[in-house]
Amino acid sequence: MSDIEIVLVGQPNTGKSALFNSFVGSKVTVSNYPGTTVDVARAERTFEDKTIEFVDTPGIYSISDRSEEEKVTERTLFRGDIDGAIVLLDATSLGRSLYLALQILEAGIPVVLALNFVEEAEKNGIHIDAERLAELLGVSVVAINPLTGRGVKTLLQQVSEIRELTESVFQVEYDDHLEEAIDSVSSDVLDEVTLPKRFVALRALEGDKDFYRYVAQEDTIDTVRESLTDHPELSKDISVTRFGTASWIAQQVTQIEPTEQKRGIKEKIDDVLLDPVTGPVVTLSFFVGLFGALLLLGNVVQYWLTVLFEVVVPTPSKASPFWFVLVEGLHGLTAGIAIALPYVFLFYLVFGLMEDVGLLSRFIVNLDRLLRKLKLPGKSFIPLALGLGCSAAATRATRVLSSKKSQFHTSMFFAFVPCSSRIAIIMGVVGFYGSTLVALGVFFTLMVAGVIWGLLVVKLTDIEEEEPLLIELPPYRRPIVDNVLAKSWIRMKDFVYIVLPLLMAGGAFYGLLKLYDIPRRVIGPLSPVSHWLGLPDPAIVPLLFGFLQKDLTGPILLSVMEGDLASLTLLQFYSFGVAATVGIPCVIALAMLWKEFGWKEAILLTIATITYGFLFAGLAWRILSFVAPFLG
Amino acid sequence: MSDEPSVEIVEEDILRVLSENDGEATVESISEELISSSVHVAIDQLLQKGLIRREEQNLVLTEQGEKLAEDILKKHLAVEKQFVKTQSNELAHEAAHHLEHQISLDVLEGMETVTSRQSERTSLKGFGPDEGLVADILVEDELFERLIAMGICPGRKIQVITELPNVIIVEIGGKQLAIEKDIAAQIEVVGG
Repeated sequence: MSDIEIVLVGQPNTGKSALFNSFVGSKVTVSNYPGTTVDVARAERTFEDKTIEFVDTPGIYSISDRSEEEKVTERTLFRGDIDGAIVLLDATSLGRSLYLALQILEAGIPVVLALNFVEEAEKNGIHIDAERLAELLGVSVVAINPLTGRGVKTLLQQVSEIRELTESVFQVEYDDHLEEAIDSVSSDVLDEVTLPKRFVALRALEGDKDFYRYVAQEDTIDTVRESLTDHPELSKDISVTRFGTASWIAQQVTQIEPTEQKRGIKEKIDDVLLDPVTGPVVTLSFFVGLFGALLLLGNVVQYWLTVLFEVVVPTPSKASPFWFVLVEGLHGLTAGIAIALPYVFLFYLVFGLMEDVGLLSRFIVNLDRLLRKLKLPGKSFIPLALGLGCSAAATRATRVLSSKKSQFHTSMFFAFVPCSSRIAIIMGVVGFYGSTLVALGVFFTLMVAGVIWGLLVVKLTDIEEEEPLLIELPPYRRPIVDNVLAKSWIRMKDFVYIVLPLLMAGGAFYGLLKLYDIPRRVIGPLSPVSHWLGLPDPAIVPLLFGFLQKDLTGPILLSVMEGDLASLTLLQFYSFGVAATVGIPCVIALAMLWKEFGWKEAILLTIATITYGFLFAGLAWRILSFVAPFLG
Repeated sequence: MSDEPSVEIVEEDILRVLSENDGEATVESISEELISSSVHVAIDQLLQKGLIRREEQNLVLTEQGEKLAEDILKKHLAVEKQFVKTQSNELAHEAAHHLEHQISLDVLEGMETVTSRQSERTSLKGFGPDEGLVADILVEDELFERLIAMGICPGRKIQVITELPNVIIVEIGGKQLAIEKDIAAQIEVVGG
C-alpha cells in the first residue's frame, strides 16, 4: 500500500508522460478506467521512507465532462482519496496552461506546479519568475526538465510532504452577479460533500451534470441560472474570466524580451507537411516506406527463427500425440515472436517517436481528410497502419480513439488491411508460385474491396459524423529515448501477454485436429464454396484452417495439393489470394475483437466480413475469367 | 462576493477613481464612491508606495501612480464596454469594478478593440493568411470552454498560418492549432 497518492495532470504536449516516466520508469500498470475507453497508468516509487503512488491521467485542456478523457481526469481528481496533484505548466505558453491549474486550485486540491520547457521559453525570450508565481498562487512551483532530470528530485520532495503543505488561498474572482449566483448555489450544496462548496457551485453553474447531485435541490441551479439576466451565457462568462485571470497571472510573472524569429529547418518541414498536396503524399509515403522496411526486416527475423526452430525442435511423429500437439503450439509461438519483434514493437517505437517529436499531429491533420470520407476519425490511421503488422494488436490499438463506436468502426476494416502474415501469403504463395503481377492484383483488390466495404458501412448503418478535428501542432522537440522506450514497452505488453499465448493455443489446437485428420473431412461438404471461388476442392482446407494460424496457410495448401501447385492457373492463384486474405480473420484477431467489443459484435462482424469477402473474391474471379480471354 | 474586498483591490479602485477625476479627488468623495472600511488603510499604503501624494484637501496621483491608474482605467472601460452589449450602463459599470482587478490588460485591450469594431467581424474561415483579433466564439458552452482553454479567447491576437482543405492552421499565444473549418466558421475575428 502506498502512503501518498498523487495524480499527474496537464494539458496535452506539456511533457506529462515524460515526467511520469522519470518518476517511475516502465514498471507501470495500465488499466482501463471502468465504464470508459480510457486507459490510466499507475506506478509506485519510494522516496526517502515513503511510498508514493503516481496516477497518470490523459492530457486535457480543462476540467469538463465533454470527452471521455476529461471525465476520467475529473473523476480521478475528485473521487476524494487522492492526496494531491502535480499540475504541469508550459513555460512557452504559461497563461493557457494556468487555466487548468486554476480550475484544480479552485477545487481545493493540494497542488504542486511543475514548470516545464523553461529552457525553450528562455530561448524565445520568455523569462518566468517562478518564485513570484508561487507567491501569487500560494503553492510550490518547481522548474523541471525531464530530459536532464532537472527538478525531478525537488518535485518528489515536495509531493512527499504534500500533506503538510498549507492550502492555497488563491481564488478566481468573478464579477458580482456571478459571485452572487455562486453564493446562492453553494449555500445549497450538501454538507457531506468534501469538495469546496464554491467549487461545486461553479461546476454546477458551468453545467457539469456530475455535480448536480451534490446540490440539495437541482432546481436551485436552473432558477439561479435563469435569474441571471445579465449573463445569458453564464458558463462562457465564467470561462472567459478564468482565462483572463490566468493570463493576468502569467503577465505578472513573465518578462518578454524581443528575439529574432529565424526560419529554420523546422519551419521548412512544416512547409512540406502542412501543404495541401505534399502533406498527404509525404505522410502516405512515410507509412509505405515504414512498412516496406518492417516487412523486409520481418522476413529476416522469420527466416532465422525458422532455421533455429528446425535445429532445436525435432520433427514430431503422430506416434506421440502430446509431443505432436506441443510442437504445433511452439510453431504458433514462433510465428508470434516473428510478428511481435519486427512489427509490433518497432511500430510502437516509431509511433512513440512520432508522438514525442511532434510529427503525429501533422500526420493526423493530413490523413483526417482522407479518412473522413469513410467517416473514420483522423486518429484511426494509427490502428489501421498497425493492422499491416498484426490485426489483433491493431484491434487493441483502437483504444487510442475516444469512443467505443469509432473503435468498432475502425476494427471493421482490419479484414481488408492485410497483416504481415496475410502479406506473407500473398507474396509467398501467390507471388512465388503464381506471379508478382497477380500478387499486386490481390493487393489492389483488397484496397478496392475495403473502400467499397467502407462506403457500404456508411450507407447501411447510422454511423455519425466524427467530431470535428481540433488539435494542437506542438513544436518539434527532441525525443527522450527512455520515455519512448518505456511507452513502446507499455503499449506492447498486451500483445505479449494476450496474443502470444493465444497464438500458441491456436497452433496446438490445429495440431490436435490434424492428429485426428479432421481438416480433410471438410473438403466434401464445402465443395460448393470451392466451386464458387473457382478453386479445386482441397484448396478449401488452407482457407478454413488459416483461421487458426494464418502462417500455416501456405504449408497446408502445399500439403493438401500434394506439392503440386503447378496445376493451378494464375486466376486460381488470384482467387485463392483474395479469399485467403479478405474476410477470414485469424482466431487471435477474433478473440481480440471479442475481448474489446463483446462476443455478439465479434461474431456478427466476422460472419459479415467472411460472407462479403467470399462473395467479393468469387465475383472478382468471375469478372476476371470473363475479361481475361479478351486481354490475352 | 459578500465579504469585504481586499486592501489591494481598494487601492486599485482608488487609483481608478482618481484617474476618472483628472488625477485628483478629496478623501470624502473617494469614500463616498467606494463604500469600504479599508479606504483609509489603502490610502496610507498608496502614500507609502509613492503612487499618490496629498495636496491640501486633495489626493493627487504621482507620475508613477498616473501610469498605473491609466492601465487600471483602461481595463475598467474595456470590461464595461464588453458588458454594455447586453446590459444597462449602470450594471456594466458595476460588473467592470469586479472584473478589472484580475484580468490581464492585453486581453482587455483586445476586447476593447473588438467591441469598437463590431461591424468589421468576419469568420475565421475565409479570413485568409492574416493577423487579427478573436472577436467572438459562437459555439455551444462545452466546446467554447475547450477553445478558451486552448488559448482562443476573445480579445487575443490570432494569426492564420495556412489554410488546408480540411483545417485552418493558426498561431495564438505562441502555439499552433489546427482547427477544422466547421469550427473555424463559428469563430469571429477582426483584422489588424
